[in-house]
Amino acid sequence: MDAALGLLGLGFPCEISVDLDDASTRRYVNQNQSSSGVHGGAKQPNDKVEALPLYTEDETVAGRVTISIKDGKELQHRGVKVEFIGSIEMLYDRENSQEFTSLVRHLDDPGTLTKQSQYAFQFTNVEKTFDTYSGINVRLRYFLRVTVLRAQYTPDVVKEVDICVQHCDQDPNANSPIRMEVGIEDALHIEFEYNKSKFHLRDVVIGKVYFLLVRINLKRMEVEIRKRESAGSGANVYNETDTVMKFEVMDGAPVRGESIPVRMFLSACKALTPTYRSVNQKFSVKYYLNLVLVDEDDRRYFKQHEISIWRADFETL
Amino acid sequence: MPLSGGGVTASVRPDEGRHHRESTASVRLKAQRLRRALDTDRLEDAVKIAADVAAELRSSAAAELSPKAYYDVYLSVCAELRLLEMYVMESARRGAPVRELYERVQETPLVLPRLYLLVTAGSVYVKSMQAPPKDVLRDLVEMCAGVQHPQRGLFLRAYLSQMMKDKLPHAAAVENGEEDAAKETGAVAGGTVQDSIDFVLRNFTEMNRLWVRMQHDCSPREMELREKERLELRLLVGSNIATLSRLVGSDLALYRGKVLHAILDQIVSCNDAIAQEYLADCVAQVFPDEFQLATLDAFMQMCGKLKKGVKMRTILVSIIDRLRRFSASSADAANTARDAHAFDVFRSEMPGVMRRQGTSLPLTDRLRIYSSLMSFALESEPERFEHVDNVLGFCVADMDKFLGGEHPKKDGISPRTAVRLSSASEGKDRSYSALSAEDERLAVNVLTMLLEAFGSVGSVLQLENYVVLQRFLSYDKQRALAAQLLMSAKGYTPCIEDEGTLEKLFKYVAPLVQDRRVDERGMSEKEGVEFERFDVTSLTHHHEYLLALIPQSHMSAVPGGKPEGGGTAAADDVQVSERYTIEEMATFQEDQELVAKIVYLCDDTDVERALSLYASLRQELLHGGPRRVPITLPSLILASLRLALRCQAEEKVEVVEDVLGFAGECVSLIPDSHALLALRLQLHVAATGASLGKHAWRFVYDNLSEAFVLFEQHITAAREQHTALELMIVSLGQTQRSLDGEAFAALSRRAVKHATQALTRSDQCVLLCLCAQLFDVEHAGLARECVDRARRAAVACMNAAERVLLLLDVSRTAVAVHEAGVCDVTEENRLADTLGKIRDILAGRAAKSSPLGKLAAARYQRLVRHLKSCSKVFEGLDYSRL
Repeated sequence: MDAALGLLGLGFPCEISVDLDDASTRRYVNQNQSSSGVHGGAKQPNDKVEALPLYTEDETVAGRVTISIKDGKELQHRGVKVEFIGSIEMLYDRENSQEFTSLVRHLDDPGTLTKQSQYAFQFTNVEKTFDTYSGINVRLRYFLRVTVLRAQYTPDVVKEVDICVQHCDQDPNANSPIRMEVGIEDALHIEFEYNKSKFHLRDVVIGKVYFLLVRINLKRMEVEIRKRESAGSGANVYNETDTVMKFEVMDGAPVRGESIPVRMFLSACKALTPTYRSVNQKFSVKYYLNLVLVDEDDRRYFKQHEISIWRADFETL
Repeated sequence: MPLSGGGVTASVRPDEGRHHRESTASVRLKAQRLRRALDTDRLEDAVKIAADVAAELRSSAAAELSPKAYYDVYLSVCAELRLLEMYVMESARRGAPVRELYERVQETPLVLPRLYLLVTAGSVYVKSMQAPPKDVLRDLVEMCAGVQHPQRGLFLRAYLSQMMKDKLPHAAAVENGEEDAAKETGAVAGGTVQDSIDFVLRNFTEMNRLWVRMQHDCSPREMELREKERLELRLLVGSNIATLSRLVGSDLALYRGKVLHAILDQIVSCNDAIAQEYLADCVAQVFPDEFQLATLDAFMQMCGKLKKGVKMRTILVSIIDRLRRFSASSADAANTARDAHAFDVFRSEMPGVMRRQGTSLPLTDRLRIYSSLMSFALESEPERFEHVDNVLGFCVADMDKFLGGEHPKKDGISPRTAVRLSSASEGKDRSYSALSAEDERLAVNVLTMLLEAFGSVGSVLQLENYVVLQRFLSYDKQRALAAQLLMSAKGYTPCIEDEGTLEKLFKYVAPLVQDRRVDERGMSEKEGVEFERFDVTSLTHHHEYLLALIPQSHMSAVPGGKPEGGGTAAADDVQVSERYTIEEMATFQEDQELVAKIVYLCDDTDVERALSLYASLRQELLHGGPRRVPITLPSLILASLRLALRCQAEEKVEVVEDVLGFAGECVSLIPDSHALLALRLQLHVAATGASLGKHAWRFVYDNLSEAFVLFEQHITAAREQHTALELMIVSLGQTQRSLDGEAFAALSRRAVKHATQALTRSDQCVLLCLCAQLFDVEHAGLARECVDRARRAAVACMNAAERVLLLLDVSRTAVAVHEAGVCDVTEENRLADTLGKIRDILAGRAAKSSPLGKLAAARYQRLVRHLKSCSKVFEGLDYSRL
């Protein structure tokens, strides 16, 4: 197609490729969790499953840009630059998108390119405050943009290369267990407990549900993880709640005094991200543990509790 | 692990067949994918598919299945999971970490398949020893709580115990001090047998709870079906107990300290009749005999806490029979049983169990239990009579409770079947309902068992409760038992040494000695028994003081006054006697013969004591009334005569007379309806007296004269008269030497008189012949007269055959008298004439051809030969005429 467009003078006259330093030794992350919860099991066509190179908070981003010109052609340009951009994109509200980081390196002065050219670039210790995130209504990206500027009315040649940024946290100092006693008067009374309130992404939720009173014919009990994404601010807030994991912990009806163990491996949930609170005042992602009891008539009784999720180690391939 | 029980209940689960087919087909289909995944080493996929296979056990189709069909699906799922297990086991053997799989399977979102996979992975984990087995086991048993659905949970846990059964650690527990050393070997770190027991116990407890819950919340209509289904599943629960038994091995301390306690607790606390019954029985069956003995108290205490309505019979009979078999197995075993005081435990705990069960444990079941207990008591410690007595006491207490006045069924009982029992504790009579046929059979069984085992009346007499229990039975059964008691006295070893014992024995055998209770009317009298009456008028020939010996209750007529109600009593007598069949009569005879033998049980080593015993015995026998006394008294009389002879031998002359007097009294108590018997005995007494020497002549005379009185007053039948007279004459002859002349003369004259008065000529002839031989030289005239009269009687006889035989008798008598030197019978050719008459008849044609004639001829020839051989004696005889 490029060739066809080239004939018409519309195709890109050159090809840009970016080779990051240490590409062979760098860790990669699968960035495919755009909008898929448990419900979005089938992959949507727009979901790009690609392995992105992983960078940490203030790691230098360096590499080389290669611009290839097709044989026998030449390319006049008004300069070549590379940008490092961190952006928050509101998928349904483009106007509110924001680039919170933008650094530029000029690679070449205006002139004519006749052969393949290479330019090294380096963004030394560039600050990358946030995690890469890909949600339902919001996306946080870090990427490199190479632009070959061209004459007026001629489209610039642009190439974007995404990278992935992750931050790891330390064990939280205070991690109190969650304990709750809930019930419906004279019908159901339970006490449950999760061992902590803060979990890392590969953590295990360990808990117990203790039945103090059961007068309802229960059928089963589940623990769900619900994710709540709020994007935007003020009047334009988009809230999305999604159940990212369902985990049955009990089958059948317990009797009074029964204690049901809960042990849930969070690693089973691929859609899980750390909890984000007001990222650059643009969006938040929160997680809840929801204990659901279902009776024989499929009525649901539930109690949810917020948990905080953090990253203990990089989620690499 | 086969499931027992019946088929599928089509009416309640209409689509079960279809659901079953669907589930099985689905498992088969998924299993193919599982195999493919394993063949191509796609473990991650395989885990997911395996979860899918296991999920069939909680599908909506599976929810509709009966336990039996569900079990079928369960089996096919297990078979598929086994493939996964083998695959993982293989890779674990090559060193692959099992932990990874153990965690990965836990990501399965549904709880039931997750836990099936977890158990499967856990099984490899334990086997590989990559983690301490005890930790894995604990984790598994805890996590399985996730399935609370009774049927599904039960099968899941069954899978758990099935998978772990052969992998449980069984290293012995170690003492604290040795722990470090043991850790180095690694065996203990992985878990000890204690840990395994903890695991099995916990799983067992949970399984039982689920099993019990299967029946929760079901309508009464479904109850029966559920019960049936539960019974089909009982082996799943019970197999845990078998596993525990294997783990415990022979470690009694471990069993007692840990295992039993936990099991019993669970049995009690589950509070479910089916479970309690089945599990208690399991415990009784599974663990070794020695354990059962050592922990019997705990087991019995548990029994005392079981729910009302649990079939205690099954449980208790099971344990008791088991211990009985054990103690019967060898001498060592019997000693062990004895040392364990097993019976004492039963004795102290049994009442509590019974109290707890109350009316929900019917009398029949109780009696069955006691029946078993009785055989145990007899088998383990036969020499402990008190044990046997305790068992009888249990029976009595329960009968008292169940059949007593407060019992609601009383209304349905007719007065005729009501039983009375004087209860010593209350001091007053209570009336009881009759036992049912089955209960009675059991009660009889209990008593019979001990009779057979003891084989001695003396032992049985030591039992306090025997009689009390016996009184609950029907008259017939009481009678049969009493007979059996007497029959059980093998060899008749004397065992009665005092009156008390004797009295007791008669309480035991009262049904033989006394008559059937007639009806309620009779009950107002003493002991509720109406007797047949002695006809006092028939005893008037006796001295009046003898009347004092006869029990008041037997007196139907007091001399000088007509008794009240005598008429009805007589009417009853008639009815009673008419009711007896031939069989009853035969039984009666046999029974009374047994009673007659009681005298042989009396210890007669000391003569005086024996005599007083005999007196008491007589008193008891007299209760039997005129039907029994003729059968029961003779043996006593003969025994006392033997006693008299012994006194004589031991030279205790002063006692001899007492004894003989006693015997004489006894004879006079035999009713006149049996006059011939009385007469024989009287003569027997006289003969015994005579053998003691001259000094007893008065006594002999008295007895003989009594005999004459009997003869004259009460023997009326011609044949009897003949027999009696014969006996009297013979006795007179025998006792002649001890009588003084006058007495003898008086008696013999009387005998001759009776002989001449005999009805037929032949009788006269025979009797006179006998009389003739009584006399000595001093009474030669009498002797001759007797012979003459006899000859006249013979001659007068019309029948030629009879005549010739009688004449032969006369001739022989004459010869005998002559040879004795009493008188000369050859005078006036008496003998020769007689012989001539015989010859004449024998010469007749008729005599020659008839067999009788030949017989007579032969006798005649013998006589002639005899006369010829001693011709010197018969000088006056004309031999030429012979």
